[in-house]
This record gives sequence, structure tokens and C-alpha cells, in this order.
Amino acid sequence: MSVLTIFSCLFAVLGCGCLGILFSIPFKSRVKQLEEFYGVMDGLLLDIEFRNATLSDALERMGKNCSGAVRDMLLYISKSIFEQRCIDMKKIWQKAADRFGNELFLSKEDMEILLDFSKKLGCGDREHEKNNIKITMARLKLALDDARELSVKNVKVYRGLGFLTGIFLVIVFV
Amino acid sequence: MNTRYDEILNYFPVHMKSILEKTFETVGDNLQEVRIRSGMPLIIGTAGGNFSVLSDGMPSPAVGGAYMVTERDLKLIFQAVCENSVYAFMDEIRQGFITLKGGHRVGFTGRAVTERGRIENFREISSMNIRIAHEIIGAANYITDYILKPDRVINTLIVSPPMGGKTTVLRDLTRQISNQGIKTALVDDRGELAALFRGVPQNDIGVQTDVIENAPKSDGIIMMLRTMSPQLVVTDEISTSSDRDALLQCFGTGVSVVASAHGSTAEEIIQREVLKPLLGGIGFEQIIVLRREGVGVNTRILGTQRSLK
Repeated sequence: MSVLTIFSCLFAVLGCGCLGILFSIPFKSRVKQLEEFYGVMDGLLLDIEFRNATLSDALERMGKNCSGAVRDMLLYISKSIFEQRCIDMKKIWQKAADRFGNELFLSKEDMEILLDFSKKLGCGDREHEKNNIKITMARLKLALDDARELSVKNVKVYRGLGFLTGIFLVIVFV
Repeated sequence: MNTRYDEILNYFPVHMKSILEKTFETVGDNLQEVRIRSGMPLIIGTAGGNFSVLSDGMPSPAVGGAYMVTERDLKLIFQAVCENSVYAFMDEIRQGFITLKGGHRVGFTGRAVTERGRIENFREISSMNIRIAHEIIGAANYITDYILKPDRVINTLIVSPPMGGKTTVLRDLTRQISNQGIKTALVDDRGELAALFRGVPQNDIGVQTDVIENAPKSDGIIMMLRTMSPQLVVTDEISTSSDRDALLQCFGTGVSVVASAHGSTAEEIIQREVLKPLLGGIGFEQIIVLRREGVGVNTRILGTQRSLK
């Protein structure tokens, strides 16, 4: 077996393996982003309870602690609330979701949780806000459990499939 | 258009914003307040009187053709003045007003929710009044010489009816005294004097001024005395017995006090039970009564200053 053949086999196995990993990324990223949003809710709860921070302030602070599209989305919402002031909160979240939706790996149902959260956001007293956040956290927790389960299952499947496809190609063509 | 109005326009829904832009351009610097009542015409108060705002933005003395404020408009404006965070403004809501960036004050009324006889919240907001803050550098020039002496600041009570320019004069007086190097403690429970925004005063209150904002006057005064070693304490609108008690402690420490109160004449002030213990003795040495003259917030001393010694 020539060196070229060996390299070709390796390339096929690694290439297909990488493709498998690539296909599994959305599942892992969804978990990560849901975890970030869950953390944001937790932080908001503290900010409302102890710092009495406005939403614009709190979301800016939370956003800076997040990464990627979650960070961008939160900072965008914070800036919109601060600059436009007289706005419909749900519209702002919807606009942010439309703008950053492509970079988010959340499902339609996950996004629905965030939009439902925004509907009741900012218009009530502290107890009302805390309840809204707690309900959202409970819903995010369910989504997170589901995402973790899917991630464990699908990441293994896609990675395994990727490498197996590579090996299959090697067997068939070599 | 006055750039200070830009800040206010941001609190209105887009359709009202375009109407009011024209109105503000027309009335120029004369605008004093905007009154927004659910189901009623939009009204502006100017130095020349009250006018309804027509749908094309023109002010008119008649209400026919005026823009009618809707319940939704009012709700959106309320949300906006609360920075879409009503929970963060509950203390202000209980007091019935919120101070905006720039020192403008929004008062509101409606159906109150009470608990143990105290207003806890408003279930429905029925009307709002946005009072435009006027920072006028030099507004206190008329009275500075009566208050600021070479060796000390005379304990002074500044009196005027509502909208008489007390706050404007007090703010400028603070600036002038503070810039003379006198350590000034500004106890600004409504945030109208300094108008702190993210810790930075939006109005010029002088280089030697420390501000405590949104704290009850009585707590704020005591806190300032304990922590900032001021030479002068300035505070607006003395009205309750707790304000009076805190000021009495101030007088006892040798710190000068300049404060304001609602009233039309010095006699009226002297008769008021809450203020009586503050007048004469170690308390206020003079009362200065302000009166608004013509357009703007020109003030002058009504008669001579009244010595209480």
C-alpha cells in the first residue's frame, strides 16, 4: 500500500469524521446558548432584586458576560431600550431575534420562550418581574434538559456516523 | 428647537413625537410643561398660557381639532419614563413623580393602590404632566449678594409659589457658591437640581458640590453631615416635619443651610407650623421671596429681604 493511499484513507476518515463533528455542533451550541440564557435570567433576578437596575442596565451587564450571538442580541436589546425608550418590548425582542436568529442555534420553541418572556417584561412591579423570570427559567430548564438529551444522543450519532462513513469509503474504494 | 426638548421627545410614541416636534419648534424656549390626559386634548403650558396641540402640531387656544391622547399613548409614555422598568421606579411612583434625564419632572395621577393608608402603586394612570427643567446660568445673580458674604453663607429660605423659579434659582445659587470653593452638599430628593444620570450631574452645580439624590431629605442631610463635612447644605422644598428635624440638626453643627419652600409671602411662611422652629435663632436668618416676571424664569426679590433676627 503506497503512502498516497494511506494518506487518502486517513483524509477520508478524518474528513468524514470532521463533517460528523460539524453536523453535531448545532446540538452542542443550542445547549450552550440555552445555558447562557438561563444564566441571564438568573442574573436578571439578582439585578432586579438587589441592584434595582433598569432593564437596559441589567441586560447590558448580562450581555457583556455572554458570548457570540447571545451577547450581541442582549446588547442590541439593551441599546434599543435605552435609545428609543418609547417602544414595545416584544417588538424589540422580535427584532433582535430576527436579526440574530441565524447565529442562534435555538429551536422555534426556545425562541418562543424568550418572546413570551419579553411580552410581560418591564411593565410590572418587582414581584411581577420576578415571577415572569422564574416562569421563564422553569421553561428554559425544560428546554435545556431536552437539548442536553438530544445533544448527548445526536453528537454521538453524528460523530460516529462521520467516522464510520469515512471507514466505509476506505473499505469500498481501497 | 431647544436641544433640551430632544430628550423629552424620546419618551413619546413616534406619531406624537412628530406632532410635538413642530409644537416645540413653534413655542421655542417658552415651553414649561406638557399635559397628557387620557381621552383629552394634548396640552402644553407656556409662559404665555396653556394651549392645546392640534393634530398638525400647531398650538391653539381652542380645543377643536386638538390631538386626543389615547389610553395606549399614556401607557407607552409611562413605560418610557420608567425606562421600560416600572419595578425600578416603584419608590418614585409611590411619590407620584419621576425625574428624567436632564432634570425634567414627570408627575402622574390615576387610580392609586393603597396599603395601610399608603400609596403603593397606580393601577391606572389617567394623566401625566411633564415639567420642563430650565437650567438658567445666572438665574440667581439677583440674590447671590444677599446670601454669599465674604466670611460665610447666610442661612436662607427661598420662597415662591409653584412654578415661581425656586428650583432654577437654587440650582444656579449652588453653582455660584460651590464655584467660590465652598464645600456644598446638595440633598436632591427629587433629582431636579443636579439631575444625576449614571452618576454624572446633567446640570452645572459647581465644582465643590456633592450630591445625594432620591434619598429622603432627612436621611440625605444627616448622611451628608456625617460623611462629607460640608460647609453648606442646599435642599429644595422643605415641607415635612422630618425635613424640619434634619435641618435643625444641621443648624446645630454650624453648617450653613440654603433651602426652599412653597409660599407667596414671608408672612405666610412664618405662620406655617412646620417651618416655625426653623426661623430665627440659629435657624434661617432671612427669607427671600421670588416672583416670576414675564416670559422665562426671571426672578427678582419681592420687596426687601426680611431679617428674622
